[in-house]
Amino acid sequence: MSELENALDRIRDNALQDAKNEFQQLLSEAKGSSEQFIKNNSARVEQWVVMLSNGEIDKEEFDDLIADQRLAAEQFVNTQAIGAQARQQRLTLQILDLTITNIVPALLAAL
Amino acid sequence: MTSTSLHYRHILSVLCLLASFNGCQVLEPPSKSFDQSLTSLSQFQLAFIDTYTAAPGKLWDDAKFREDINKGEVMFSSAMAGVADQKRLKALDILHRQFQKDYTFLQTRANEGKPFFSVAAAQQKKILIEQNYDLARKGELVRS
Repeated sequence: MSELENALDRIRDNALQDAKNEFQQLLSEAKGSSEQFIKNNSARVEQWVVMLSNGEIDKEEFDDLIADQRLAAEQFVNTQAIGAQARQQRLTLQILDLTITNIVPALLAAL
Repeated sequence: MTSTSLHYRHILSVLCLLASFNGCQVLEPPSKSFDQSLTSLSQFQLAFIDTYTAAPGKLWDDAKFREDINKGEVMFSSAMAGVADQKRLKALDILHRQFQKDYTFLQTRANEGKPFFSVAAAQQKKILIEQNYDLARKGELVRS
């Protein structure tokens, strides 16, 4: 079992199973992307969730890193042609939003 | 007027006409001064993170903190002054907002009695700052 799976396994709330599944599905989709930025984004979010669950960073620092990554996503979109922007921004921001709104609060409640 | 100069005038007219079509954007060429601004700003921002990362015995110096914020703000204002290209301006604006977010975060933490970035968070932040500047440079390469 990966470190992320170990961390997510702590979330026992049945109401959040769909969010957990969606989160893992989005991360998997991002890892398969041909765009390096999208891959890096998912790897970093995964790493930060593990760091948070291990107590290496606190919730404020986690939120700050997510905010940094949002700005990087904005910068990334600024380098793309118009057609590619919406598609690539969607996947990146979906992962960041789901992490902040569902995964991390549930994880912290379970710790 | 010779037939050669007339020929060039026709080509120039066609190019001007093409450039004026709706949706046809004339991009500025990659800028050396923009690249220099990115280099000095990235060095400043990375050093800022180092300065405000926790270390044994390190004490919070509010006067120096304000001084560093002012220095950064002046650097960003100077880099953004006179930049007409919208994509270039947007790239600088994103980097500026990242700097503002960082010092606001530090200020909030200092007020709560836990100043400085932790070493683990600072390492991640430095990777993200470098990534953000790399993307801003990539935006320049896209134009060339």
